[in-house]
Amino acid sequence: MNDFELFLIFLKAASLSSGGLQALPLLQDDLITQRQLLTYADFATAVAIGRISPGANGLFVLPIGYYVSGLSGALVAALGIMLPPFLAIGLVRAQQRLADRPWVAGMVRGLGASSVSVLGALGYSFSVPLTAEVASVLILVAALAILVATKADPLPVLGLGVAVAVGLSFLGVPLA
Amino acid sequence: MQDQSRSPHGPSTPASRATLGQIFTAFLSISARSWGGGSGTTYVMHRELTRRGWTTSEQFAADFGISRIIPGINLIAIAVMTGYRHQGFLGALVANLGLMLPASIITLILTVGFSWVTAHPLGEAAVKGAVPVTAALTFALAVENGSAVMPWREKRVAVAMAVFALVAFLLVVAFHVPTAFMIIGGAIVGAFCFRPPTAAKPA
Repeated sequence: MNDFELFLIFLKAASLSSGGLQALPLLQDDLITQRQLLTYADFATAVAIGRISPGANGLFVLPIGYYVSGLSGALVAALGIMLPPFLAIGLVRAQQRLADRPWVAGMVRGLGASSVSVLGALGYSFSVPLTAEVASVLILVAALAILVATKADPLPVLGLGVAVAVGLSFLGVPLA
Repeated sequence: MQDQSRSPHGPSTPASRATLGQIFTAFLSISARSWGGGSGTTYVMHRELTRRGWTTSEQFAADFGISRIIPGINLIAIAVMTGYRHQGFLGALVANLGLMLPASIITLILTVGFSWVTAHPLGEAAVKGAVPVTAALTFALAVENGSAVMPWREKRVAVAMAVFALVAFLLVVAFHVPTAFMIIGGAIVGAFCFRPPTAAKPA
């Protein structure tokens, strides 16, 4: 497969999905089921890398591109996910044009309220597997308390969580 | 129809306009500093953009909702929307590039080194420590956005929004209703029920 074809596969997956992980089944269909270029183990590793990587969500496509055709594969994967978000410009223009209408202001508030629920539900789904070990729950609660109470920068809090986890692993305390 | 003396682009145009260079470097820094595969990034982005006065918490929460239902990766869409409000298409482009560059390089380094890191017990413990902090960042952002988007002075609307948010949360968590329905539902319910009073101050 050439890199242009690979680019189109990533562009299609990004265009037909919203958020990060929704692109995964589309890529699975193209790269595993139809073309047998990668394995499920490759995908699992790519998703794990995507979960710890910085920046935008959905960067698991970079390792997937890399596994298919090296650096140029990762590059076309990045290009493929960078293009569809430009569609959001149309919505910004619509909002700017209609901003004075009360129903638009109400809509913005409604979107805000549903975003809070979606964020809460996302946090909840992250937390469920953590309840398997007390130490993981304690790290979560402590980190949340620090973040809400002090409005601390998240990077040091992340560093602290990692340091505590490494320390606990030395003491043999299990983590989820 | 009320029509106060506002900027020609309405309240969604930010008060202080950032330059292309400022947009690019801000997103470069967000990209390099926000670990945890997305949730941490949403938190850092909200913090950095509101701190600079480039967006309001209310606008950010609305952008987040919109970004979850349009095609493509939502955090890139938030960057594009923010950049566009300040500097048009070029602003959108540099915001996108800034958000992607450092993170992509770091992700590639992780890809090459991944098996090496996780084969090491310390690397595995580090990853396990990052997950609960990522969850905490997501909850913290929900709490901060929740208090920011509430129109506290309009008691009836604030209560209605809180009830809507709680019901939506329960529907997603307990009944696995797709989040896209909740976001579209929020926009529709909001257009009818969460309107500000006609003489309200600009959002």
